[in-house]
Amino acid sequence: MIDIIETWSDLPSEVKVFILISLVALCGALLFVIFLFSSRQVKNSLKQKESVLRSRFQGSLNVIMLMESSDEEPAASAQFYLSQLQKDMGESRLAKQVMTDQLIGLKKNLVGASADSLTNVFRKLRLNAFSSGKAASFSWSTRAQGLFELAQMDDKDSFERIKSNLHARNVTVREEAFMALVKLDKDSSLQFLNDYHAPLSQWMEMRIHQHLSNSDKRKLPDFSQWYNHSNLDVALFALNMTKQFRQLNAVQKLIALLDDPNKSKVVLTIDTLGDLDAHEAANPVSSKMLEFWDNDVLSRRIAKTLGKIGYAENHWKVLSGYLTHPNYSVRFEAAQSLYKSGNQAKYILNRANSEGSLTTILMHVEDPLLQS
Amino acid sequence: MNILLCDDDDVLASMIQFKLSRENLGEVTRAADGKLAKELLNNSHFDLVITDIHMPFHSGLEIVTYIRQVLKQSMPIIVLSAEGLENTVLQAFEVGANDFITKPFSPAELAIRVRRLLRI
Repeated sequence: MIDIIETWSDLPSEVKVFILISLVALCGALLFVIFLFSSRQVKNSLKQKESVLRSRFQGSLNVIMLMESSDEEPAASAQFYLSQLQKDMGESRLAKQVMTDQLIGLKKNLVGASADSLTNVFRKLRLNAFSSGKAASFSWSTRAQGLFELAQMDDKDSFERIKSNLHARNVTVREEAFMALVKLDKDSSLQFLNDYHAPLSQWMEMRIHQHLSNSDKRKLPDFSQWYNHSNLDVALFALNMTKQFRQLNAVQKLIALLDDPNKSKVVLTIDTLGDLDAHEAANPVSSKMLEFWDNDVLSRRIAKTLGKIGYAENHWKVLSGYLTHPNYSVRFEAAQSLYKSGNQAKYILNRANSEGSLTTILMHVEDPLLQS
Repeated sequence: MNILLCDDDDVLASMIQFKLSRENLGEVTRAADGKLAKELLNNSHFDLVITDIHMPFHSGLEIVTYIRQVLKQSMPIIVLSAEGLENTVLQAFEVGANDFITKPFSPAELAIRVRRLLRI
């Protein structure tokens, strides 16, 4: 030992520093390996615990789930298995989480009485309180998870709690709350949109559309009620849904919307009128030509929509006016609309090309391979 | 009756196994992946096969093709899948499936379809 100390003190200071650094690095590496190994062990043991719990729950769940309308199993039997589940689960958070995940996993694959019995199990085991507790957590990920669980298990009693998360600061929580409300909104009335003031992403719109597509079309709300919503996202969403679900009774309200000061709303309104084949809107749409002449996007939309809903000579005159528009895509859209509107409109188109200024566009429009 | 159930979702497979056994439709053997399903098919006789489409190693459609084209067996096959797209359904029938059930499904309905295919 004394030798080592003497040798150490004889060493030059650079070598000492090098040895010390090497020792620290070695210790660090060792600690890292121990950390990796122990975290792997913890993970494995957790997985094992989960698997044991899952198989323990599954037996009782199978019986409760498939007891549906069977006379041979008295209600007391279901109660027995529920108590068994309650006993197995105890107060452990891990067990509650495993059970919740198991119920969600099963419910997404089942319909009918079995799926309903899973919802009952969720409530009777008071797992709704467990998920509600998570939905009120400070951590945004736990909160989002809680909201997701409540929605997946159709817990309608949590509607108000979920609604209170609609304006959460965290975007994931907000989106999860929104989607949960859509899922729990069984009559598809979407009334919670009335108080919605946060952004509505395209992803959310897509999910709502998917949800509404699978619902009873007769129960869909009248989307025109949100055209003048203070949240522009909701108003645009309502316009989009009017178009998607072809709500023809909204045409008069759409025509009124042509005077809206917000241009993105007007663009979508013109598109919607075209997609709804609202011929009664051809005059109001064509009357907007001069007002929106300087706006290329709107001019293009008017030209395109008039091609769909225009039917009289004055509409074609508006279109021929667009043939001299400074923007190429507006001229092109107008030419295409006139080309599709029959012989009289084609005559106007050819007359406008007397000096050959539209030859390129006409070649494009007439090419059968390039027609949309 | 021997029924082979191929599904990698352990919880769901356990529920189906319980339902079919409870309805006295036969003894259910489970395979959690396509490889095990093939092995079981090579070594045992089954009166009916229920298979999911998305499984590790071999898909459900591959299993159906294997049964019909390699093993040349004609037992009834039910394809059970969350993917209810027209193309998938048509493909399943083309390769030799007898029935197609889209998830989410009713276990009671599955039992009736099994009973009908097994003629019991």
